[in-house]
Amino acid sequence: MLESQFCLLHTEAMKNLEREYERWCKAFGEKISEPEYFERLLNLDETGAAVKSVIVYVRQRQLEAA
Amino acid sequence: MATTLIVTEKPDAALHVAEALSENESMRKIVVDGVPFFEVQASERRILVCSALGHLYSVADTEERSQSEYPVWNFTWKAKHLVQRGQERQKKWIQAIMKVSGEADRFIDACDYDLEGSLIGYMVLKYACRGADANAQRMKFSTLTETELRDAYANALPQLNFPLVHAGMCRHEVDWLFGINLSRALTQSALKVSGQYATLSTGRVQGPTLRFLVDRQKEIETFVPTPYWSLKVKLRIEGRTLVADYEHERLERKGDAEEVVQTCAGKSGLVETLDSTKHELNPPTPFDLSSLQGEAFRHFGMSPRISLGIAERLYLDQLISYPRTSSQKLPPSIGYEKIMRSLAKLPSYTTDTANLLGMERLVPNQGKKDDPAHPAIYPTGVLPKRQLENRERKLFDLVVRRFLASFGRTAVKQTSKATIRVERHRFVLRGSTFIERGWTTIYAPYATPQDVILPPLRVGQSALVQEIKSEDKFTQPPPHYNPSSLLRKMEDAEIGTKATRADIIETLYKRGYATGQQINSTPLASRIIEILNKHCPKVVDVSFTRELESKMDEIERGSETREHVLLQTAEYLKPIIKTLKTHEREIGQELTSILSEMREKSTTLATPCPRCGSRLRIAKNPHTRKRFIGCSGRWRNNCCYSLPLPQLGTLRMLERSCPDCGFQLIEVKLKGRRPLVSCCRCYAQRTDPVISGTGLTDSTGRK
Repeated sequence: MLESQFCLLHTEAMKNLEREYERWCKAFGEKISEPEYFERLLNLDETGAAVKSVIVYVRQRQLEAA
Repeated sequence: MATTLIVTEKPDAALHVAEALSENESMRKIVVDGVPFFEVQASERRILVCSALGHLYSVADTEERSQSEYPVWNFTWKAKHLVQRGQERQKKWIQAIMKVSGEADRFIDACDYDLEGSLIGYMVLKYACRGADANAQRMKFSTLTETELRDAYANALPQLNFPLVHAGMCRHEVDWLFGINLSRALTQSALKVSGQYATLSTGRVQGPTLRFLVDRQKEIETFVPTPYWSLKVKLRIEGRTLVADYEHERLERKGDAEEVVQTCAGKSGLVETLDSTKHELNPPTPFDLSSLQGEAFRHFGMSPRISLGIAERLYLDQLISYPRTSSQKLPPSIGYEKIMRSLAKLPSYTTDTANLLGMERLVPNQGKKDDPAHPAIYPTGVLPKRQLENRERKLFDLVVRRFLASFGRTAVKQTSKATIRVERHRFVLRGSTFIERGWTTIYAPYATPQDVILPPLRVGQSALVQEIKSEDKFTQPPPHYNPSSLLRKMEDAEIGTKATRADIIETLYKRGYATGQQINSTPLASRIIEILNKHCPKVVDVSFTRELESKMDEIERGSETREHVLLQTAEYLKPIIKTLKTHEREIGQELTSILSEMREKSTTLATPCPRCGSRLRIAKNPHTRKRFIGCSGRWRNNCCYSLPLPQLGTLRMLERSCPDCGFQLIEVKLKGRRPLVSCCRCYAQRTDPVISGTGLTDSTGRK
């Protein structure tokens, strides 16, 4: 749903974000929550700029919905 | 008297050719309408040596038409001064050569023996010397030393290398067709929609190269790191503490890393295995151009274009051989021993050359790459006659050491590995040391082998785990390209030539598509690639460019014709240009927003107005056309704060601030001069307390 609102770059970032979530869960051996996943990625220098802006956008949308 | 006219590529080369051919110090410099010629007497012949100034002729439209018109399919070769502005010197040169060529009955092309050099010489002979190309001879040499030039003159080839000339012409013509049509399509699309002009270019090689950058940028920007863990253990072995790594470099689950830590903490283990292997490290191969550019960037941070420029300067000074070569081979005919004996006179190389000359045989480690026209880059043995500038000295030293190292003895390295078993886990200690340093001593400043020595260990020795740590790590995004790695990527993709790749990278910077040494592609670059991908993906596809490169190689070998390749190119381009023309409006709209954004960014300062806090912008006075920094709050806040700007040169706002006042620094670039970085605010206050002629003093009252 969200992807349709993004440009090509941010769509790619969103896809990567979703794909890597499973790997993060496996790595930590437990299901880490989405907010924690986002928080950790936002604090990492390695995270791409487009990924960070997707996270900020998604968080904002979630806040508005709440 | 019978007169021979020799045409060289550059004035310095003309002087060296004349000096080499001069008998009994007969050389005389004559100036014709401000253009220098060198006259020498050799065996009953008068020889006149003249030079071009690089390319004096270029591809141009056959008709005089507006720069906005496209497509353009008809072209011809014209003198550069008729096509480009600011080519007065070139005009004078052509006229002088035309005048003097009438006196000659024999013509020799002595330009660099490659694609560009052959084309330069051919054009001068054909147009300035009125058809002399047909009977002209060709001198072939790789250094500007006296011996080689004399030999090249005595054994001049009976005619020009026409396949090479045609390949050179074809490359220029194909690139012109691509460049003019695609760039005009982009520029005009943007202009028609936004009404604002911006030079937007792409080309046969530029498009795919830009795509490499944009793709990499995309990978970095969409990168999601994943966690992994690595383990380090401090082991106490017979009173010594050694740091070992876990047998697996990466553990992808945190639980696995924790399990190893819990199992091994405070436990004792045993040295299980000891291995040692010897590796031979062959000497490096001599430099071809791209490996020289790569090393120059790695060690000195020189961009490929800068290192090529310096290498050409060293070549014109007779110090090194012709640098635009793809060869990694040094034939014995260059005289290894003679060169080394000469280099031995320079104190930095005395010891190394003495060691090499003491060897039984001198055999360089030849590389795989070859070039039919030139050998690898090597020092000629001619010693510098002037004080070399810092960067010239560095590059010269690099070339000399690489040349000498390629003859050096094989280095032998011993790597040791000890495995320590603790419970059911293994840890590894690694060491490496040189048994024979061989060639690495010669190439020492640029090869930095470091020894990691393992203490003597024996199997069965006990080892106590003093400390074991698990480190949280994350996967890394791919690195940004730098000018050197981008050049290597172009070479691997087989696009562009050794002579043009560095210039294409520079163009990406000039057009605002790339920034920084760790290259970031700009939003404009991403938009251009997005548009081209959408409407004509073939333009940024590397395969067609590569195919054309191989066709031009075939022209060089005589198995393909220039006319055929040009026809194929036009057939390929026509539907692409038609599509771009059809979607002109759509493309224009796609470009307009990004251009406005970039224009806004390039004229808005990061420092706010010290008086009202609004944005400061670079603006132009509509009456005087003078540029200045003005406050955007003029209408809203009635703020008249302004600062003067230099009126000449290209301005660039830097991401640095003035250490004194914190104002954003501005760089001014004037052609042929070093860029000047200045703080406009400090400048205004130093020169006049009444700032920039607005009649208003700076409200901060700073001096």
